[in-house]
Amino acid sequence: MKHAILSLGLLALCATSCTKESGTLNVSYVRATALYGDIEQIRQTPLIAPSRSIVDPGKVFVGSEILLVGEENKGIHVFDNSNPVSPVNLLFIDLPFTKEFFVHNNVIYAESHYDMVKVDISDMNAPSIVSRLEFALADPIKDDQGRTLLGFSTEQVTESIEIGSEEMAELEEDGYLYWDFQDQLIPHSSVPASFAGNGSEIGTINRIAWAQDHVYVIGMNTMHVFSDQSGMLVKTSEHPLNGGAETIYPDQQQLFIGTRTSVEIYRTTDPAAPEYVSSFNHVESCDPVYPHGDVAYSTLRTGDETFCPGNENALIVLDVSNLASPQLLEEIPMVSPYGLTVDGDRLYVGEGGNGMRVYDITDATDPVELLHDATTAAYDIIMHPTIPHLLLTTGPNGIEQYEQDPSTLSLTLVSSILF
Amino acid sequence: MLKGPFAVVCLVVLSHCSAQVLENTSILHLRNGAKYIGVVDHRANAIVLDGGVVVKYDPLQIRRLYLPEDVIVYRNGKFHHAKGLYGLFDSGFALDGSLYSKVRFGLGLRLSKELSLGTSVSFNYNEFYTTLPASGQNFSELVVAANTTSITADARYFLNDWKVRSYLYGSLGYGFAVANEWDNLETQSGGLHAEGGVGVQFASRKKTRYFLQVGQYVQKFSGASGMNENPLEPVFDLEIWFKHVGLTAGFTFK
Repeated sequence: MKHAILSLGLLALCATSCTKESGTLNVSYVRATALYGDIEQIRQTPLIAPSRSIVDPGKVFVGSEILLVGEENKGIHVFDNSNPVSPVNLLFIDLPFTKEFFVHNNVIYAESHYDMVKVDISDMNAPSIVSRLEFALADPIKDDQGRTLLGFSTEQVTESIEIGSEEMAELEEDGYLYWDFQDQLIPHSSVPASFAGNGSEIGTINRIAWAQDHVYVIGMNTMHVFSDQSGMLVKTSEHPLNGGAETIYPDQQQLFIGTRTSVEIYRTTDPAAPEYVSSFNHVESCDPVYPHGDVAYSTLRTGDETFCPGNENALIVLDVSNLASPQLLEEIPMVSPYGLTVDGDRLYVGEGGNGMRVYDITDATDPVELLHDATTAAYDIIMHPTIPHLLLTTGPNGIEQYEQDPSTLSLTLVSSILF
Repeated sequence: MLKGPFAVVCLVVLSHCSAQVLENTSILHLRNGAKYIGVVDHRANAIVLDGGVVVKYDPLQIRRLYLPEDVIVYRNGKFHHAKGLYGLFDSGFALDGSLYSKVRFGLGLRLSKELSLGTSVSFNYNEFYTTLPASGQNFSELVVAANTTSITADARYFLNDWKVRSYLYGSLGYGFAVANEWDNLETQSGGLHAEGGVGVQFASRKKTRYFLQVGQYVQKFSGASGMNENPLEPVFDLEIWFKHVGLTAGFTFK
């Protein structure tokens, strides 16, 4: 008997060479190839460049006289908007890799690949870098020649791979490098163009926010916190986030973070080290959050298979009077909600190509629809900080400035910056 | 010099050096619960036990009688069936750490003391995991969770008559793919299912006989992702041969 069991064990041992899966995997995919380069040389890029056309718009900031339009991965267009009827494209701030920025007190806080950069724009004709915190967002990934990973080039390919082959193992390694890189740095926004703010109001689709002398930056899975007290950015803490973080909105001593599956609330009693308070979970979707007193409005958008898979589109109203336990008050079905803003007792929600909706929030817990303007395509909406009744939208065609009739809410186009 | 599995099979055969088969021995169960092992004299309605003791019995009180051509009996009363129909149940897993499991129900016929043929239905789970080349933000892993329901023809060939009988076994059939929500596949299909190896079956005083077997398992499986709405997600099709060395434990009954 002992011999039999021993024999079976030996058989198992000697036959383990027949245990590798074999076969073929035919796959069509977007192949990412790592690009390495000299990060120092890129940092030396002259900040000011001649004005140029907007190709791939990102973040938009509306100041009293200035309009900043992010160019994804390139920099920021500066427009003189002192006359909203005819904004003038002044110059281009050349900040390689920048996708997200925030403006506070005439200073742009921008991410630039691994770095955080402060740009003084008090003179809109002569912006200047006042601080750069190198490798603020991630440690550099380098190749064996000491060059820094700058990104990936992508191409659509179809390959036939032998399962279990060394080639497959190599592809897996490349994949991990790509994912690691993507996870650490700031991803593209799920909204094509959205407002960072207007100097007094903050946009709802920001990844960077300034509050209480601190700058908060959210990556895919991490919140980075920087102190701005000394005029120079100093990293104070880093916090893991629920996966798929997308937006941050500071409100008094709280941070509202929208992830694809939740709204997360942090307390900033110590602004250098935010403390997690609670979260409200929802279906997987893209969801900016706008806190408004004891409630918070959040749009849940799905249907964009690249970033926001699923089939639930709604405006939800949360009771956040008890931050430790946010409660769902109402869910209003929508078509394709993106950004939102509040102006007085009006709540504006952009529905992308499906227009814009305006709600009466005299009772903040129960928005009542006043208007569905199907002709004004809007990803995001914000009011001009100093000119009354001047409403700006970002849409598929560009940035548009409208004069709004306060009684009828009807819009008259003032000017457009076309993409 | 013999190598690999052949050498091990020989080792199994040679390892049983103490045969205990009792020639012409029958097993008699009476309705009062008594059980006798010996040589039956039908004309005298008697059974001659080991040692020469003769026990007379009433033919109307026989509950069960296993004749020498039906069973292989050992001194401690344990026995193997040598003929007749049997049912089978077993369950197994991979010895190499792969995610593989199976449950099998079968029906067989002992054609002779050495050879049994049968058929069985088994439910098999195989998992193949890889990371696909970088493509987008949402998709990096490919998990193929392959459920197959196999129908096979089975054979077992016993190598000896000892209390722990060694045997070679083989199964050949087709595994039908069963869709499940975890496999990342929109279409899937099965293919050849084959198994082969060695096993041991333990004698018993009852109707059930436990067995252990080790063998090579092969299952062909193919599938495709279909077209993804998300352009960043890869589109793929694959053909896999799942291969494992598995350990199976189970029992046959009657």
